[in-house]
Amino acid sequence: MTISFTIINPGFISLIVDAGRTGMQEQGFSGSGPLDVEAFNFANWLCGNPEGNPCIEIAGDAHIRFEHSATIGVCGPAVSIAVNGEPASELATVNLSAGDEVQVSQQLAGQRFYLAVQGAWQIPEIAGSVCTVMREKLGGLAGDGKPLHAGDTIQVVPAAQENISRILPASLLAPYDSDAPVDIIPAYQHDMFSSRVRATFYSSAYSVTPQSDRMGYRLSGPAISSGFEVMRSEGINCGSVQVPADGQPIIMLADRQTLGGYPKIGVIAPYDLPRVAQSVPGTTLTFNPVDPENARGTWLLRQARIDNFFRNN
Amino acid sequence: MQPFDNVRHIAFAGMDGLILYFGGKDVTQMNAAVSAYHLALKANPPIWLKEAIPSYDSLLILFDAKITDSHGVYRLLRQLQPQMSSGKSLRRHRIPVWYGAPEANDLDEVASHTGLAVSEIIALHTATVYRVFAVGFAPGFAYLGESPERLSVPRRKTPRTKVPAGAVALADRQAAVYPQVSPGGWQLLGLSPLTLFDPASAQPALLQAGDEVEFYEIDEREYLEQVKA
Repeated sequence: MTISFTIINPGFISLIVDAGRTGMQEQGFSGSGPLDVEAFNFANWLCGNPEGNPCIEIAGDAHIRFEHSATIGVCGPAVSIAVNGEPASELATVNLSAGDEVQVSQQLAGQRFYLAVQGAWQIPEIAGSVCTVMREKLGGLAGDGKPLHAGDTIQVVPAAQENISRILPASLLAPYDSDAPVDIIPAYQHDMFSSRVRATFYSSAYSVTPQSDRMGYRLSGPAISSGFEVMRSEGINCGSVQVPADGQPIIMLADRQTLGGYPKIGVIAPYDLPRVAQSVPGTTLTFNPVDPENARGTWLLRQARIDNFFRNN
Repeated sequence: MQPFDNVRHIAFAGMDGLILYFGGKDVTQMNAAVSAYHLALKANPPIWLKEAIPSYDSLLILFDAKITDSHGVYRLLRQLQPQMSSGKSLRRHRIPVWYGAPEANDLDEVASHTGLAVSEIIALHTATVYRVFAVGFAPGFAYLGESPERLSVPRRKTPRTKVPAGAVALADRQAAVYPQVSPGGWQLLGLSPLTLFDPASAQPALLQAGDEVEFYEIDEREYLEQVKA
């Protein structure tokens, strides 16, 4: 048996994402995957899915009809959910009946949340993933990289599982409202930037501009020119902060190109990427250099805290 | 971290990445060292390996930070025994080209930049053994180098909004075959009937970093036959 749900309104943009394409960057495929990996994982946990199951990454207010009974989970910063117009509790499993309509809305335009539906989504994989990459015209419902449109229906083979009821404590979410400096690991060409330029970078505030998308977030603030321009293209890790000739940093995210020839001053620590990815235009960010081993320690503690919660709940 | 052998510099590439830069007398030699390490790593992939992304003179290694750290990765890299095979590649492709195909024909522009006759352009292009330095820009897009100095051309002043799949192109001292329809600013020599990118295949990109590529000339009739086949 297959269940289905239909997009009535995709909001500003709705994309089918999963954990992304792994091992394919050497063939030129972008890593893709969710912009906010933690919220994506929490949404899947809320509805009892295995890690990495597809979700819809939604920006804006979306409206979805479920033709059959289904179990869903929704996660993101400041999201509210209504079922047939009645408010439902956030950060909890939502069990739906056939014909239910779900409306999900967010407080801040530009943030993204994840809608998970229990079961195996019937979507063709491309290079090992269903993730939509608009720039590559790959992935998604029809495999052509298009976002979801009103009227699109997704088929799911439900998991053979009792109804579940899970609650996620808000304290487990990434610190989306924090204005603490973002941890960045000095990396790549860091040492080729002058000490004066580096001091400027670590002591200034940079604001997220509207020229930000799944490829990268463009920042605006004091210029940090490297003084060198000709560089051979090289592989780019997620969270790399690259600096083109105008000195305005760009944070490279999920749909970044695999290779690039701009100097990079560092790479943001993975535990701070959810907060960065959920920063709406106008948010100011500051940066704090951390040693890679210290960053790894902080990251492992955070992973252990999440894993322990999943194991015991 | 201390460089070793052909590795002239190592830098952190984040919490879960290291990037190795290789030395050599020219890009071709540096790239041969990149390929040797890339192949040696993939011949026996460690469980922590998430991505190994080769480029012109560098190899980016991304690892699972739950399993290891940069010191563990560095130790393994030092123990690798890459086969430095005088830059010779394991795979060589022969790519047919219908030079001057109307959809992809900048031969006159290339002629005016280089001062070569069209027949000389084709002769030089087909006589060159190219090496895939890197695959990127788009899935399956292979950067091939190096063209002879005499075949060096600047990019087009106005990029095309739509370059057809299979278009064979030049820019500076590099060559490429567009794997899919896309925008592009390179100078076009013609069309190849070969499928360079098949997303449904286990290995979607035909050309892999480190491969060698030669071009040969076909005419319109052969092109149409091969496209149909």
